[in-house]
Order: sequence, then structure tokens, then C-alpha cells
Amino acid sequence: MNNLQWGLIGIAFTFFAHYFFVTVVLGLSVLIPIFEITGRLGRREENVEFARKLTSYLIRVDLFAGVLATWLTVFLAGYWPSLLFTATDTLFYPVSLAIVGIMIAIVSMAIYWYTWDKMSSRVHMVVGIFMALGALLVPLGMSSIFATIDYPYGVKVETVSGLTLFVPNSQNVFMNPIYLPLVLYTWLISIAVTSFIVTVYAYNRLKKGEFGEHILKQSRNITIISSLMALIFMLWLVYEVKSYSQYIYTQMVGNYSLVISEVLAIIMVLLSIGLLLKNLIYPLSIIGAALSYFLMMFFEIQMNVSRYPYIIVIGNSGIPASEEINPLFNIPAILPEAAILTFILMLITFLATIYIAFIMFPINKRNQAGEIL
Amino acid sequence: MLDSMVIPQLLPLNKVPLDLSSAWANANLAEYMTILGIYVHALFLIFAVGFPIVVLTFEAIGTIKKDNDYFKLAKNASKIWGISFAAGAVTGTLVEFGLVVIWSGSIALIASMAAAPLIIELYAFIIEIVLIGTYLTTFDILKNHRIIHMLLGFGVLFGSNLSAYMILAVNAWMQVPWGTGNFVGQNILPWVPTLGPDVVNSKSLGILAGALSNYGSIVLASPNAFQLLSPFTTDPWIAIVNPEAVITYVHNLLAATIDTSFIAASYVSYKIIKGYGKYDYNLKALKVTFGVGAIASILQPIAGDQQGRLLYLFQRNIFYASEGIGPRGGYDPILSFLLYGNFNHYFRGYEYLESLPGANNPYAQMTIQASITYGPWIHFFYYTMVILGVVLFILAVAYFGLYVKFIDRIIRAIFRRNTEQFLVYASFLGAFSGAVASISGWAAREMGRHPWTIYGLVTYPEVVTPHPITIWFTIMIMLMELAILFAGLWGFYLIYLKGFKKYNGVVR
Repeated sequence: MNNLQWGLIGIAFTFFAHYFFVTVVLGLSVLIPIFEITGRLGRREENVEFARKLTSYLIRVDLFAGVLATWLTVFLAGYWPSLLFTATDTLFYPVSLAIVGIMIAIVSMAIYWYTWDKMSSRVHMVVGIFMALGALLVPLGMSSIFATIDYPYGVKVETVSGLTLFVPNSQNVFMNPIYLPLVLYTWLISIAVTSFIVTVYAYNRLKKGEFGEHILKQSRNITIISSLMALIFMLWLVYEVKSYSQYIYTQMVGNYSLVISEVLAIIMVLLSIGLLLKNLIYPLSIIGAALSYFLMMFFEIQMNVSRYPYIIVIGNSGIPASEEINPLFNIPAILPEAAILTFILMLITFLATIYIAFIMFPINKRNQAGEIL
Repeated sequence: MLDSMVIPQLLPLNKVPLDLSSAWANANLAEYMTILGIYVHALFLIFAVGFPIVVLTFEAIGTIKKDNDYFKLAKNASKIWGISFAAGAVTGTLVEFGLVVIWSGSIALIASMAAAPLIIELYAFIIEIVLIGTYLTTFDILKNHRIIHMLLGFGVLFGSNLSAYMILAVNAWMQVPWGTGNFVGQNILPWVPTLGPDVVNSKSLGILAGALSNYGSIVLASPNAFQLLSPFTTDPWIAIVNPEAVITYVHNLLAATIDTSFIAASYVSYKIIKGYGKYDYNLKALKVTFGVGAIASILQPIAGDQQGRLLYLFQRNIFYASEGIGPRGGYDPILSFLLYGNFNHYFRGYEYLESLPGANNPYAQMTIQASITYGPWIHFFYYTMVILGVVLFILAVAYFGLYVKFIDRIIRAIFRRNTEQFLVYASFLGAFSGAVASISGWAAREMGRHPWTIYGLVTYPEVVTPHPITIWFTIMIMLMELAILFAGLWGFYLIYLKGFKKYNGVVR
């Protein structure tokens, strides 16, 4: 296989693996402070304890997601250097915003976790808000890249004696019509997926007598609101794609992926409303979690695959991926092959560790921290 | 030279010529945040690179002696990985984004000679993070299977060191662009010898270097420009086998081991002085941490000597700056003996470099001028590192006073304390010396390369982003870097210092 094939496989594999994890990171980063703040303000200690339990999952998932972000950058620079340069040049401020978001999110996440019960509750809540804001800033910046390759607003093409330069024009990249609905959809679908998962978790803990019904109701309400809003923003996004990125729209209509996504989104909303039925809350939340995750990944994959053979879509046409691939030399195939193999092996190890840490030997069964100082 | 090689092929780009003054201003501002970011990153990553040796030593001794104290020490020590990896990951992400966003011209490096090391670094990164989690999680669960648990620790050591090697290989290629054959020596810096086999296409190298010097990083916004550079190399692995990479890695592994083991030793000494914890338990920790630091300190001069030889061989102007050899040269009996085996070799200085045929090009002149300008600082940092290395070596020898009566007697005679007591206080000096030596060593190395990003090929302003970097942007990023630094240090404090319980007395 050549650079183009490995470039597409490598970037797709890394992006979707990254996306799989960051969704939960974003969702938990928003949900956890909500549980803590409502718990402290409403004097419900169980909310605070529930938030703490969720944070222990967040920390572990975030480290894995963070590693994959590095993978993504290196694959982009290695296989798609000119594309990455254009993105960092044209989208300097949005990408910087995302970097600031990453820094705020990880630092506040670490402080949030390590200072539980070690600082005043008011300060801890503020740290939680920073954690949520940091997490929300990341897609606020990174979505600009996807909006730009769907509709290169803010980029001008200068062809000077055979050399094509993609450079910024005077337009504000934040005003790209695809950008805002994409950001809002990304935020809300992440929260919806995570809140379905959290509802399943809350139900299980309720059955074990660890938490009361209030947690379950709160998580259910968030699921209903976020699912409904995710559907609305998805439809807005599709409308803008139809207007400004016709090639992607036509492809998605042609292979029925658009109608499938819309039907799945409607089912997701119906399932979330179904959570109001007390007897069905457990099976519906499990189905909802699986379906919303599938919807999110399916829609994202289709939006990106539909761009092919172009890497940047301009109306009904675009810039072929083959023009942007690194032409300097053939990157040895053993490098991406070994990368994918290592990833799979380490993912298995990671999941086994999660199983050991949370199911076989939960933290309360292990030695108390600090006993050996 | 470069201008005549490249301009004919890239003339059309004269619409966007590099504005040198604004590019230098951008590069200078960007440098502050990069320096701070890398140093903050380094503080955390040394615990991933060097500290596994200390942790595994604790666990190995515990397994051999069947002494539970050593397992407790290993477990306690390994807790630092959680914080250091989190802080290291966030600062690493920052450094990496800084590379592609602020120094966006370096994307060309990642797409070419750095592709193989950086992709391999990805495996290392994921191995390291996953196995750190598994090691910490299974510490008690695998208490009856210590060998298996130690293998997980070796996995962490392998992952972090593979990662370090690959990153340092990229840095080493920026110092000594191995595989470019005679290109640098023949075209730009005449004192540079042949840099390995000629596996990088010299025509492509000329176009890249010339395009960047004429137009700046904006040229990378053109996919066609990359087509002009093809085929770039016949050996994408060459950066990994760079001799500079091998020596730099060994030097840095030893430095990270020295730094972290002495920091741990000084932490234990602090506990001993304050009377926190059991004395015997703390003494075991001190002996191991100081011992690991001592062994690394004894090996370090060998690695340092090799690093110096490579500097002399490949970067003569930086060697002169580091050793403080003036423009007209001079004698240095120690250097002469180390390099030539006699005491009377004459080192010829910058004027000789300037007199070499081909040294009248502006890049060679700029390089010599930079060495003269930064020379006093480079010399200061270099010798700070060397002198502190000698201090560490003496401390390392003193450590063996625990086992050799003759050394113990000398320590008693000079300090009126036995070796055990001496080590308690010496560990602070060790931690200070190690940290300052590392900071100084890297300062000398990076400052010495000015004005080059890739020695002899690409300068700083040529790879900085075409976007204007404002002072406020720089300040904001630097404040964030400091916030990460303090958050990480606070994490260390929460884990290791808060909640001490006083046990008994002071140092015996």
C-alpha cells in the first residue's frame, strides 16, 4: 500500500478511536460538575458522591483519549503535511483556542480529582466549572477544521505559476455557516451519549442501594434534553451542509446514510423520552446508550467518508486527497502496521486494567491511599 | 549559495517573500514560550524516563530480600507516575501543538526525516500510559506474582525510554542532520564534516532550505511545493541511527536517573531530618535512591565525554563557544589530552573557521556571529554543567563510604559526620546539582544551535508561523505553562508532603 492508502487508513483509524473516547470525556466533564453543583446547592450528598465516582472513570478515559490526540497530530503531520499547515495557518486562533481548552481541562481535571475533600466545596465547584469549560473549548476549536474542509470559508486559493497556495483570506473563520451547528451538535451528542451511559450506571448503583432515585431522575432528564437538542442541531447541520457542501450532502443522500442517521436520531429521542417509563428505564437506557453511540460514530464516519475522493470539499467538487498526501517518500508500511497492532494490544490491556480496577478489585477493596507515607 | 540554487525554481512565489524583521520578531517571542514549555515538560517527563529504575530497584530488592518495606517504597514511589504522566502528557501535548502551530514550518521535518521516529514514539507513548495504569492498579493484586508485576514495570521503563530515544533522535537530527552527506559542509558551513551516508536528496534539500529562507513557512501551504521536494530520501530510518542520537539518549537517561533519584533521596532526607516516619524505613529508601543516583553519576562522565567529542567533530563553532576558546584560538591542555592524547594541541578558534574556503556566505557568517554573541552564556551554562557533574561524581564516591571504611574515614575527617549522616545532607546538594546541571546542559545545547533550527539547513525565523505572535498571546501561554507547573507541583505536594505523621526524633 502507498502513502495515500495508509494516510487515509491511519487518519481514519486514529480519528475514530480518538473520537470514541473523547465523546465520553466531554460528556463526563460536563455532567460531573452538574451533579456536584446540584448536590452541594441542594444539600444532596449522594449527588456529590456520585460525581466523585464518575470522576474516577473520567481520569482513566481521558489519559487514553489524550494519547490518541497525539497520534492524530503525528499522523496528520506525517501523511498530510500541507493540509495540517493550512489548518494551523488559516485556523490559528480556533486551534489555539482548542489548545487552551486542553490545558484548562487536563489541569483542572487533575486538581478536581486530587483535591476532593481537600479544599473548600465552593472552590472545588469552580474548578469543576473550569473543567467543563475547558472540555467544551476543545471541540469549539477543533470543529473549525472540519467545518473548513467541508466548506473552506476563510481560505483563499492562490495559484501562481503552477504553485497552489492555500492561505487565509480576510473572512472570520468562526463565521463559517457549517461551524456553529457542528460545534453545537458535537457538544450535545456527546452529552446525550454519556448521559445514556450514566443513566445505566445510576440504575445499577440504585439497585445495589448505593444511591437514591434522585440521581437516576436527574441523569434521565439530562438525557432527554440533550438528545432532543442533539437532534435539532443535527438537522441544522444537515441543512447547512446541503447549502454549502453539496458534494457531501449528495453522497450521504445517495448511500442513504443521511436518512439512516436522521432515523437513528429520532429513535434516540424517542428512547430518551421512554426513560420516563419507570419499568422500562433500564432496558431503554442500555439500548439508548448503544444506539446513540452508534449514531454518533455512524454520522461522523459518513460525514468524513463522503468527502472522498476529496480531502477538502468545495461545493460540488474539491481538492483530491491524492494532491495533499505526503509525496516526499513512501513511509515504510511497517510503521502504521505496527502502530495499529500496538494500539489493539494496548487497548486490550487497558480494558483488562479497567476491568481489574473497577469490577474485580474496586478501589475500596484495595489498600487505602496514603497508608505507607 | 542557497539563493542561487533555489530561486530559479521558486521564483513565482515572490508574491509572498519572507519579511525577515517580522519573522525574527515572531521567532523571538515564540522562543520564550517554547523554552518555558519544554522545561516544564522536562520536569515531569524525567520521572517517566529515569524514575522507573529507582522504582524497579526497590521492587527487585524487596523480591530478593523478601522485605515488605521495599515493596511499600516501590508502591509509594510509583505513585508519582500518575501526576507526572498527567502533567507530562498535557505539557507534551502543548509542546507538540506548539511545534505544529507556532513553529509550523517544522511540519516539513515531521513529514520527512522525523516521520519514522515520531511514529515509533506513538507506540512508546501508548505502551507507557497503559502499563503505568496497569502497574499501579495491580500492585497489591499481584503481590504473590512479583516477577510478573516487575515485568509490567519493565514495560513502563521500555515505553518511556523508547519514547525518549525517538524524541531525542529528532532533536539530534536537528543538531546533526545525519544522512545529508557533504551538503552542509560543501554549501553552507565549511567546517562541518561529512554527516553520514548521502541518503537525503541534495537537490530536494537545497530547494527546501532555499524556499524556507526566501519565503518562510508559508511555502508549506502549497501541496505543489512538496511535490518539488520528491523524492526526499532513500532511507527514512536514518535519523534513528544517528550517532548523536545514541549518545544524547544515554546522556539524558543518566541525567534523568540522577535528577529523579537525588530528588527522591532529598525527599527521604527531609523526612529523616524532620523525624517523619520510621528511621530504618527511611534509611533503606535513602540508600537505594542515593545509590542509584551515585552509580548514574559515575557513568555520566563517560557519556558526557562522548557528547563533547561529537560536538568537537560536528559542531566546531559550538565547541569553541562551550569551551570559551576565543576568535584566535588557544591552548587547553586538558582538552588537548582528552582529544589528542597530548597536552599541546592548538585550538584554532573562529578566525580559522571564517578563513575556510566557502565561509564567506551569509549563513556561515551569521553562525559564527551567533556563537560569538551567545558564547559567554554558552560557556557559562556548559561549565556550570561540567562543574556540577564533578560535584555529583564526588558525592557518588562518598556514597561508597557506607561500604568502604577508607572513604568513611575521609568523610568523618572532613565533615565530622559518618557517611550515613553525610548522605542525608548531601542528597540535597545532589538534587540541586543534578537539576541545575540538566537545565544548564540543555541551555548550552539549544543556545549553541542559534540561529539554526536544523543545524546548517534551516534557521528559526524560517519555520515560525506566518501569523503575527503578540506579546499578550505569549504572556497568556506562558501563564498557562506556569499554571501547569504549579498544578503538577501541588499534586506532588498533596501526595508526598501533606499528611506526614511525626514518628520519632531527628537524625541519629
